[in-house]
Amino acid sequence: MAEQLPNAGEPLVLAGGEIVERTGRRHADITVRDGRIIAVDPPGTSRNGSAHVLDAAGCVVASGLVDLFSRLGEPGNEEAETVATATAAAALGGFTAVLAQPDTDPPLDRLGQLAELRRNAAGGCCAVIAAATITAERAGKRLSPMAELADAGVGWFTDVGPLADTGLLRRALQYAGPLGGTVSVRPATAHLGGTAAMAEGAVSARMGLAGQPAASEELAASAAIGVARLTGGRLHLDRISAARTVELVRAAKAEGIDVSASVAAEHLLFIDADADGYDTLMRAEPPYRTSQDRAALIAGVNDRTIDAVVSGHSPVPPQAKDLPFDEAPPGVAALETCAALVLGHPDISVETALDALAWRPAELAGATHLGGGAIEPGQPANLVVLDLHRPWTLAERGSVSMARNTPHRRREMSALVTATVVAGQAVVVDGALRSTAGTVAAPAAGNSR
Amino acid sequence: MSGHLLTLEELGTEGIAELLSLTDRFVEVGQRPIPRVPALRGRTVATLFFEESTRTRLAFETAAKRLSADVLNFSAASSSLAKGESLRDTFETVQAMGIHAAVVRHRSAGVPAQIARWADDGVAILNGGDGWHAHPTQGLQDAYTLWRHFSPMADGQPGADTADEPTLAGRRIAIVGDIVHSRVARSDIEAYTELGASIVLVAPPTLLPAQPREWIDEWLPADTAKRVEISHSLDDVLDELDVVGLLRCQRERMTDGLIGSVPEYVARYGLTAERAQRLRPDAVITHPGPMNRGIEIAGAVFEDLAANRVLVTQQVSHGVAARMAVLFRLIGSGTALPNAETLADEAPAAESPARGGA
Repeated sequence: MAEQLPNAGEPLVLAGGEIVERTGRRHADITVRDGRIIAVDPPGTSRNGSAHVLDAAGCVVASGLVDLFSRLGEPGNEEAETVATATAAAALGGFTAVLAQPDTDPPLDRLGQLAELRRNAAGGCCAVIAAATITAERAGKRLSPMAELADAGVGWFTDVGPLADTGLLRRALQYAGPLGGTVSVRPATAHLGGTAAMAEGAVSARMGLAGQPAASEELAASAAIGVARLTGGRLHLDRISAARTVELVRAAKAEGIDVSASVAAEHLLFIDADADGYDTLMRAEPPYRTSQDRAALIAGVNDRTIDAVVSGHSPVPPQAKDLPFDEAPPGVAALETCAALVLGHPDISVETALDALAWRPAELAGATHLGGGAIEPGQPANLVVLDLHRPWTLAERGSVSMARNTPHRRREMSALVTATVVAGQAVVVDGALRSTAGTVAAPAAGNSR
Repeated sequence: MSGHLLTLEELGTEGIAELLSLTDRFVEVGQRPIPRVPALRGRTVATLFFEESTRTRLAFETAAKRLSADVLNFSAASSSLAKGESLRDTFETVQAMGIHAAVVRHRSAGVPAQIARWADDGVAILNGGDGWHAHPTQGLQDAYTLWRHFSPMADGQPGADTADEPTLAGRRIAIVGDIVHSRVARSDIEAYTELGASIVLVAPPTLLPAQPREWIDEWLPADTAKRVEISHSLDDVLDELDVVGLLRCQRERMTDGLIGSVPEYVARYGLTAERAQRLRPDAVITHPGPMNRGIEIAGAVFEDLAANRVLVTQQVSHGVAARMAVLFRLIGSGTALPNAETLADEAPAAESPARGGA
């Protein structure tokens, strides 16, 4: 690996890797300068004495990963995470762009909050794409100024959770249509245990915990799909967890409804029984379900019914996980491990993993200039180098996220992000963050493209 | 035993039987003029009650004091979050005072298991009731009460007959009422089935877990699960019962819309005078208390049968002995069981040297 990395104007070469794209695989060297890819050449031809070289031999080189669900901590949860530490964690995890969830305190529901996020993100280690709330103050009562926000470059609207009022969801989808916006909801039905700590079933009954039946998610997903059909609006179903929901999405897509879906990486690993010991790190949002549900989610990723796998990054302060199971906040700090878990998943191919982690989410977020785009001369240089056979653990490697709420500290993972190039800058080199926040001027928000 | 008592499931049949046999000895201690032994002298038992409780706390305190342990009380209402202190901080503060056991009661399921992970070696965690999950000492006292009702001690003395093994084999026990929200039901199911009883859970579907059969089948070993049935009609099963185990029906369940009305509940699931008439003459009634007379059981039934067929007072008094057995077993003299003579030698407590446990 290069000891010296290029200054502005000097070229950087990613040499000897196997480029994996939708169009296929090829061995090539990629030359990057001034934020863009300037050449893609047969291996070996680009190496010359003056260029700075990142050795990618034996590794996969892909377009940068794009996370459709990250909570960045700021504003309101700085005790757990900041935009600087979250974007550092994202880059270390191979992400060149993250979609910042607007359920901050205060929520991102107006231009002033958008400007604040962009200021905070300007010095981050990767690009931050802003999402805004569907409803003012995220109160679920009336629409936020979606048109103003869309004019300022926001293309993704979500209250980061269920939207109980189906009429309001209809209006949001109608209103967002001409704005080119996507409306995202996490389907759950409040009156059917929508906030319970566990999935309802034999495990929750034995543990003595209230449960969310799978029907809680299915009914809300079905209602949202119905409203998408009614309005023709762009609907995203965020972090689905149940087998029947996968079927609903599959059927809706077959019907031609403009719907997409995501799943959090942990839901491809864990089931409700993993929470047996009341380990609060196993409390998830939505809760982990049965092995049949997990199998359906994996199948949904593999047949591309589920468009994106997201990190679901939800940092919490350490003491928050030392609460009773049903009082502890759900979620994991996931940015550093998400890609490794998906790329190392025994039932998911590398191409499928990259489609779900980069290519498809970049399209959905309108952000192919920030990650997940084509690897061709002239394109923005957002790239990731992946060693698929490099065992590592988080405990040994260390963490740059402030949050410690991860169940994977000692899990041996097989895929390591060895380098991340964000807008032409090598932010991660040899599996380590090269510099702390401040070196990369990240594009702030999703300028539609 | 793991060093803690979190559920009865982890004890298994042998572990439960051992504690019930040990309970015999402490029942005998309780009948002495000075019901105290020095078995835990110098040991400190903390009661960490994050949820209000009168009878469980009293039973544990009495048990600890009769074993000559020091008792340290901690009460904290409402959630730990509201106080700005985590559960772990609270426990570690109490633990730092130098304790040998902590009885933990919390409205949230799983808290004793969480605290057991944070406990230092040598500190035993006893589940004093966690949410809807488990109440293992209640399960022990109920199982002991039924065992000794059907198989009384010879001459009121324990251990005379070495074949006197704790068992409920062949007994048919109904657990009636709000099962889904009941930690007592879960621990009673564990205790009774481990001792060989067959169980019928009687409740409307809204007061049972959503898929009750799957719950039982995934929870209990296959041979045990077969001995647990589910019914929505008390009348259907009444004639066959040896025990009617009534659960407390909390008023808030009525207002949560889980049942249509109180009279409707009483009509289907209450032990009314008519139903009491139909009981087998030797059938008995248990209740973990506090009892809603007029709901779970008709006032007149309680008065008429109280003498020897409503076992509520026995349950309470055995609750002290059962908790003494658990404390002795967890933080007493290791694996050696005391025999009656040893305990007798130690009384009166005041001047005797503490034995092994200190």
